[in-house]
Amino acid sequence: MTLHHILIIAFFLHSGLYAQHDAFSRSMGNNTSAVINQYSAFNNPAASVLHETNTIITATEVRHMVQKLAIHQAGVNVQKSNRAFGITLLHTGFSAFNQSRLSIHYGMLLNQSISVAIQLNAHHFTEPDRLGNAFALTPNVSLLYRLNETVTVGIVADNILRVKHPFGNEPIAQRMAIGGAWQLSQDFLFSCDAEMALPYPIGIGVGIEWSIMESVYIRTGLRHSPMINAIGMGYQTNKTHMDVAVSYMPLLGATPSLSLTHSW
Amino acid sequence: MRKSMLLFLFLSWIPAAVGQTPHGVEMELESLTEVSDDGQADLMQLAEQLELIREQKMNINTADKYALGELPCLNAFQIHNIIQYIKRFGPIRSPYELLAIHTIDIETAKTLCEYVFFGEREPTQIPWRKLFAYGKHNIIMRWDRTIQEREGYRRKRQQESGYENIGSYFAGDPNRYVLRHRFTFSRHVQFGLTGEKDPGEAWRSSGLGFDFVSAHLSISHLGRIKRIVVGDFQAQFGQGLALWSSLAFNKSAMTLNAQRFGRGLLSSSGVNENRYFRGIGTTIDLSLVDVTVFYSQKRVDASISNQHDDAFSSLQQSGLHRTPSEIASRKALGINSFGGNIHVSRGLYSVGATAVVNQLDAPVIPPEQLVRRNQFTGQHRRNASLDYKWLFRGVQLYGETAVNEQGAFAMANGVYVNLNKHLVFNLHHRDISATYDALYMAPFSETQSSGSGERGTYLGMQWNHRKGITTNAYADHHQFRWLRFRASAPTTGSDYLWQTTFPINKSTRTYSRIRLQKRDINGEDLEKTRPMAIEQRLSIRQHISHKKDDQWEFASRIEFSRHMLDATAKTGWLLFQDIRYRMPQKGMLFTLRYALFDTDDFDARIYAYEHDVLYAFSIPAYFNRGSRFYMVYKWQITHKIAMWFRYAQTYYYQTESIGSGLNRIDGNRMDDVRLQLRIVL
Repeated sequence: MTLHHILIIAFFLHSGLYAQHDAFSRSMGNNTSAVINQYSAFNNPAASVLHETNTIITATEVRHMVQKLAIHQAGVNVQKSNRAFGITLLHTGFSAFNQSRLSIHYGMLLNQSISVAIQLNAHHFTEPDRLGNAFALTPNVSLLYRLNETVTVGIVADNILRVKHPFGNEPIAQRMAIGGAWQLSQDFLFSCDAEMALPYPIGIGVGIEWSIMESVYIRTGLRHSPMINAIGMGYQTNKTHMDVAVSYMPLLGATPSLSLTHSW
Repeated sequence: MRKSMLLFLFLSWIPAAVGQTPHGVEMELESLTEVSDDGQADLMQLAEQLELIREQKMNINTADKYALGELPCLNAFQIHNIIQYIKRFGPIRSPYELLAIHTIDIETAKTLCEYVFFGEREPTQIPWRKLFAYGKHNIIMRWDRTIQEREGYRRKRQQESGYENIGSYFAGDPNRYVLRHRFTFSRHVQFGLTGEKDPGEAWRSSGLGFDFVSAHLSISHLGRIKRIVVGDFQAQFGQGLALWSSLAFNKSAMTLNAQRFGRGLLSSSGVNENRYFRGIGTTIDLSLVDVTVFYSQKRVDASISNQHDDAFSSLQQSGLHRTPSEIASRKALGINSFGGNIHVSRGLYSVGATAVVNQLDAPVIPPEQLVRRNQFTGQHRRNASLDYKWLFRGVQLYGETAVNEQGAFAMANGVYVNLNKHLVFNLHHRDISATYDALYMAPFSETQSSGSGERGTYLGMQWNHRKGITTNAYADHHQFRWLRFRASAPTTGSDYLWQTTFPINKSTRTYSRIRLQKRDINGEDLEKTRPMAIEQRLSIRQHISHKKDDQWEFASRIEFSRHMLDATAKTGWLLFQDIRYRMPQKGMLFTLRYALFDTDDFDARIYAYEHDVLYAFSIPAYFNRGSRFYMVYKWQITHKIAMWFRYAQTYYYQTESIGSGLNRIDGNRMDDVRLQLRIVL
């Protein structure tokens, strides 16, 4: 295995498990733990309870530097009677190492402004050369509360039981993200996140979305670790959203992302 | 209009505040721990005093300025204005009336309501016939332990199995037990009995089996006798230079608290095993003058000197008696203390004189090290002091000057300036001679319980902006004129804090805090020259708390720390989420915290307050890399019986053992459990 492969695997052990890969999150610099929208099933399942629509989501991103290292995501979220249920699927990797994650979440509204969700993730890892196949189950919990009509706080905690990585002695990254989102006006959304995914360094970032005209959004986001600079835009029809983003990371170069959602 | 708005905010806040740990107290405790690593046992005593006031509540209409001075939320002007308001308009009838008092803002009123009630004036005579009918018994039983076995217990097992040369070990089991009974009657009569066995200590054949037993009886308002205390008690006078046996808050985010408010003689109910008096004391009210006298005879822990026969090298403060050497130092030295205070208080000024004599059974002779040259030496220590307070319009002056038998002086003087309702300053200067010491002192200083050789100036400020925004800031510059631990030369230091609290709405508050500390310590170079280096600590905190209704309460925090020494920087991060859930109808309360932390090492540690069972407090240091979880469950079984259960777990990454020496735990996980039962009769 080359050093290049090791670096890629090291990166995916970290971000591949939890990072937010849809085009909306990418364009906001992955700072979307407190944002309530159609992508909440990926980013904070507790927020999907407050979104109050049923949604189908697909997302894909392709590494410009390592083109075969694509990430594909799909999911569905059903919302009814202040409860949300959803399934999401993620696949990433390449011939030397790949992983898939099937997640099931259930969320509920505790009162008018607080929602909570639990999520069970089934991970499948493959490293055909030496380690073969392995499975792991990790639980996560998420929380979202509204401070007022325009400000929300979201918290996501992954692998709270410290399930060990089947290919190593240390736990799969224990991640916690605390974020805030502020709808500054009808046209501006500001979001920020602090994310710690042990044993990796903390990442702090901000993102902003501007509705330049009805149904058209432009976005940009920054994060300091791993360093991400991102821009993107979104277009909304009556029930469908299409979002594109380009994010730049020093290790992986420019990464284009495309997402499509349909709500009803 | 603005008054109406404030009143509306206040009214809407009142129900939400019930049962909530005061925000200010949490900040005080966290700040205190950050300043001092002296051990949290002392902190428990201090925190318990506040918890006790909060639980029993003080009648604001009968409390004097000393009682109000105990509350962390009031400064000298506010205390004066409350007392003047009551004198002028009669008893305060409701919380809302507090806003009519000059200098009391909505935040102060909120915190004050945690500690006081608005009762009628109490009778000055004790209704003895009602003593047992209306007296209240409060019985606490607590057990806690760490699940994992520490090295000291492992060695004990080896010793019991016949192994030899195993070195030191813990003599007892890893359980900690606390039994406390307190009887109170209308704040006039208080009786207390406390027993404690620390982890690692063995059960004893006397004193109910506990390693530490304390008892007291305190009676107030007995004719001219303002207070009489028999048994274990504390003494607090002046600014803590000559006589202050309990601990007191130092620098914290409550930036106007440099002044001490001595309460005279108080019953001692904490579990600090060395800082208290045991004997009898009384305060007599002679109309113009309060006269206090006391006598104490007790034994304290002291290390036996290796160099001198029949002498001790130092006094111990930990109160732990686990290993053979700790057991040998247990109650090894007897101290007879007597002293008193005369206090004259007339209107806006007061003056006091304090004298105390401590006579030891045997001399204390510290080892001949340069750093310990000015430590307490000899067989007796005599201290005397004069203190004053004078309040005039928007200015209050206060201070104390103390001298010991060697003629060494210590001074603490300060001034409060209340520029207007929104802006208050507190300037405090202390100058303690390197040769000045007292056995029981707790001045406002850089170090927790001494301050010898320290000279410093502190400027604190509180600015209440409009819309409830509050800014607290302080700047402190100090110098030590003699060597200290990890400082082989006279040193200087500074400490700066800025904190702004924003109320986002009636249920949400956030604060931002930045603190920078600098001091000279020995550099990393351990060669003979030991060049001094500047140690710098920076911490930045963002905290948000949200309480939507009577059931749910959330708090989130992110904190950064940076430690620099000799151009070597170490950083740390802490991220946590708290959730509290109440079921008032079932008397249940759940508290949860999940935290991730990542610091380069112990130097970049971060402290955070944790909720605990009643009368217990946890402010652990988060360091290295890992996660921590804790939960506290409270169940009010009946209106007389309540139960608490606490479980905490810390997990460290890439670590093979936790702690060092006899406290070492093999492995990277530590679990602590605590169970408490309270019966109120």
